[in-house]
Amino acid sequence: MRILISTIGTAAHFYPVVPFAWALRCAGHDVRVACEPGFTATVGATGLPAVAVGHDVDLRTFWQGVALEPEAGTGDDDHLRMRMERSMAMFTGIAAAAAGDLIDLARAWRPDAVVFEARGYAGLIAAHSVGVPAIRHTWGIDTNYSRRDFDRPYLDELCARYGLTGVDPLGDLTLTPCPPSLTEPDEVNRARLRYVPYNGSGGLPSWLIPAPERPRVCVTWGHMFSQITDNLHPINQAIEGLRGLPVEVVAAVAPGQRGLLPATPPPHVRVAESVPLNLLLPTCAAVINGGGAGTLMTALSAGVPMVVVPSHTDEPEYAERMSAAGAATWLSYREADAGAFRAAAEKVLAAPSYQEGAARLAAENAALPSPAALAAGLDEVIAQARRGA
Amino acid sequence: MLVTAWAWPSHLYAMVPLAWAMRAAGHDVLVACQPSLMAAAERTGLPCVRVGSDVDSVDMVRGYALPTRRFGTPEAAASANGGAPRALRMFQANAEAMVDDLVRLTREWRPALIVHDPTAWAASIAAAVAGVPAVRHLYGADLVHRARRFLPELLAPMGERHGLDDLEPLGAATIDPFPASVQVEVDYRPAPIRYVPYNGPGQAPRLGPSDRPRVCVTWGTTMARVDSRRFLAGEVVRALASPEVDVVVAVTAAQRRLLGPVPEGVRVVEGAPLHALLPSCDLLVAHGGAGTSLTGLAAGLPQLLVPQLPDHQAHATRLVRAGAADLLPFDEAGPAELRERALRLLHDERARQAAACLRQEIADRPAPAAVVPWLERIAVA
Repeated sequence: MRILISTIGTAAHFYPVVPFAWALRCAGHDVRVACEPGFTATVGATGLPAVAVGHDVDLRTFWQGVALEPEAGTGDDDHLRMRMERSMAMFTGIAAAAAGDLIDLARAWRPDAVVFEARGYAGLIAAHSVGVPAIRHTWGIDTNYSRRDFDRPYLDELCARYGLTGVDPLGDLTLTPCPPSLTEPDEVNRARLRYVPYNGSGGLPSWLIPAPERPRVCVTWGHMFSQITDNLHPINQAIEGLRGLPVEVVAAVAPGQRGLLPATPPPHVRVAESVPLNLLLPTCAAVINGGGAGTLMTALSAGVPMVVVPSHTDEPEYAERMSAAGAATWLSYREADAGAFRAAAEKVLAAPSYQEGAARLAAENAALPSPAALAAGLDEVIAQARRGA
Repeated sequence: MLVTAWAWPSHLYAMVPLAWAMRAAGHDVLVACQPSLMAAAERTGLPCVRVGSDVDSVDMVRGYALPTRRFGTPEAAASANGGAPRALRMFQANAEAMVDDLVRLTREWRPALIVHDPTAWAASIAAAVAGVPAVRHLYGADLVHRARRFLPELLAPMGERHGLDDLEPLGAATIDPFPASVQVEVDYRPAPIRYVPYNGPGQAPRLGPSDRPRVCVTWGTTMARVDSRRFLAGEVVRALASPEVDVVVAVTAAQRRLLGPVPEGVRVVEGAPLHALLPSCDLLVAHGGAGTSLTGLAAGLPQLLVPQLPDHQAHATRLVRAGAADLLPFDEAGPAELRERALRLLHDERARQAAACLRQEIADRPAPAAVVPWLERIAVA
């Protein structure tokens, strides 16, 4: 079969789909990943064939002048609502830049189904336009489910431009790479699969092969935080807080982030640049992070306890759920200074309950059908999507 | 699962779908390769690690290009030949450059099995030292099997260095994507796998439909590196361009400048994976490299081949025998002959059927995902 995959130009949204997309190829299906032109190199580096559609969108334009914290006179709820509005303006704006061209591609290539990452709405629109199932792939916990009523009017307006009405933002079927115990009951037509991490391409450094001599603690803040704030203060605070503890600290950063760390890192810290987290986290005793879905789900799959400091998007929800499952403790962004990091790290490393909670989630994840198993039953997946349409 | 190839991208590419199938089934996969292959290995999306040092393989390949009147016979390689074909000496040199590191990596990373390019012999040594199964993953005709009598002598120095006195160079099992009807005769039972093409990263072109037969011209990735004079895509394109056919030439970004003048109406597609281009074509004109030809067969395309290396010759000959290809020796590949043979092949119904049969043969083999359970059993055993 031919499966068209649609993603916005952001690694955090696309990477979780990569193992299922490759599983489809390995099962003998034909796959194309449609994305904005500027993102084709990132798609190419996954080994999957990219197709450029529409034009590039600069995400920063949507966030200019938006502070991380509420401004004076604005309550938390109003601030959250404003952020959600900006989000939908961004996701529908990105979709509008690609949808027309993606519909043309779908007409020419005739896919049997479209798989769209949860915010890749151009894929949802293209699927409806050519009349094939629209399969939504989440990047872990389905945090968009609870926002569906808020999101709907924005999407209705977008769909109307392509002559479509009554399009469900959740698609015909939702693929969720996440253990069921992390989610609340819902009424979505859903299939679950094992979260198999893909965190970007990169080499395994030789120091990572032997087991560490002391417990290893990874500190990492994803991609988005530094893109929006131009700093990595939380990593620097955490590094300071961990000084003197009997642990090896690894600061894991993306290629462009090295300059945001001290030029000469303290002696207890090793900087790992461009090392995929799925290679690093299985060697760690804990991971201190900003609560991005990719980081947390990778930690989950490796059974590593977490210290989470959420600041953006759905990070608070992830932090709460991981904590409720016993695998994490979380700190408020406002309180996360060196001392708080130190206390949280000591707690997570000392109390066996975090290790047990993380191991429980990892076991639950490992028991889910792999992406390969799901791809092997693609006929049934598509039939289930048709029933949900 | 540890995967390894010496630093030749197409040998690694043949194993990528199976490696990803293992990963998508939840297994840990690591690709080990020499420094110069790391960039290509990283772009497969698979985790990879650097082992050993580089060998000037391109220079060694140059030493065994097929003799032609135009370019003469390549000068003999500087090293003593000792009777084994030159290609085998090159495989040995790469194995020497990889083996010590690969043995160390295998001890530390402790894979349950090693899957390797049949010409990456360091894997046979590392697997034997660690006591794990070595599984060969072919990329085309099993030419190593044909030369297997040379292997014990070539591997002996490395084996002795690592304390092995007995070594099975053909490993525990062989995975074979090459259709049985064109494969060489072997004395083992291969595990068949469907050839799912991975041709390197890139963008799928959006060519649209054509009212004329579409001919794809490509010269792979090897020949331009070995000897740019032997990169014939530009000459072929100029010979074929005409109102009767829709000519598309697929090149890498680095090959673009080697094409020379491109006639009007010919489309140059840069950096596209062949598997995303060939299904919209009717004929493939190429050099006969295994990856290119197999990708053509997976799309059911008849092929006009102008081989320039002994293994191109071996693959091309086998496709000719199956009726799916025509072979044009380099010295006869002038513009008129290229054009005539291409047009003849385009309208040759028997060639089209033979290619379609081979496509079906490929499609009938188990997909990489279906080979995973078999590999799991080998790893456990």
